[in-house]
Amino acid sequence: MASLTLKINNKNHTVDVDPKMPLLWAIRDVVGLTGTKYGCGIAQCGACTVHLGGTPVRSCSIPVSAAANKDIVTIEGLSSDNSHPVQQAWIAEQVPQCGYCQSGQIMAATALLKKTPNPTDKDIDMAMQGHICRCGTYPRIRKAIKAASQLMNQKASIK
Amino acid sequence: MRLNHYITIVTIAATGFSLVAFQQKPKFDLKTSIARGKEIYTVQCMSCHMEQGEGMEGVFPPLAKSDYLMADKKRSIQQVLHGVSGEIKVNGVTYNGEMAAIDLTDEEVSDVLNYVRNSWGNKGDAVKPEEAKAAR
Repeated sequence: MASLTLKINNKNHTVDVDPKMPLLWAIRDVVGLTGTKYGCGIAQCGACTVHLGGTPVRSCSIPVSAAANKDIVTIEGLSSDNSHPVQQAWIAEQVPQCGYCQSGQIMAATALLKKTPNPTDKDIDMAMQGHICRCGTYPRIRKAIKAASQLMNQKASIK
Repeated sequence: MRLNHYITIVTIAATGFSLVAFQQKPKFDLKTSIARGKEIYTVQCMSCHMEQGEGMEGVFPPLAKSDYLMADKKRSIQQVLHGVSGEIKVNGVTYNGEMAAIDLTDEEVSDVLNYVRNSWGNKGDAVKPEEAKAAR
């Protein structure tokens, strides 16, 4: 066991855990943020995606010790009221069906839009390929990413 | 049917047939293989090994300037095909994670390895699709 500081969504959490514990376990079971989901456990499905230092990572496959003192953002950290443009677009396009993979999808989409504000279909396919959706919501995901991109551009032009 | 009409049809058919029959497999070209490999890398590898192949120290081994990677081409082919588990040492750091096998065609295995082995300061000889086939 080790005492580690996790900086999740701009809030420090001190956790006393086995340093080898997957980050996902710490986020869900110790800190209690359950928006991030456990899918496959071997970095193949993308459901557990969070941002670590701004990069989307598979939290199921990273030991908690590797994330200590770094900026972690989970789905709960996008906004407190679903007002993030990606969340807004997701609601408008009614993307989720069962919803299980969606927090990972949204985190991946958010990271994509930060890097590529106007993604092409190919950019979207490349960035989202590692995120599996059993319901097959892929066409709606693509649509919502484009809608979010527009929302973000509008916001930027108002500022 | 007029004779020269007939001859024309036969000639066209024969040309078409010989084009299909004698067309050789496109020759392997390292440069185009690397270009194709980049796309495969983005989709299959980047979420752990990161955009510049830097990995994450202690968690995901680096591919960029990696002594372990460049030491053994055959091992890399095996690892892409069958996955990796257990302890390995890369650039002096011990890793003990798990990489799942990746479902790729022979050509895709060669493409992605050619990209990885010729990016971010790495320079290695080509991996041909036949080598992936032989390692299955």
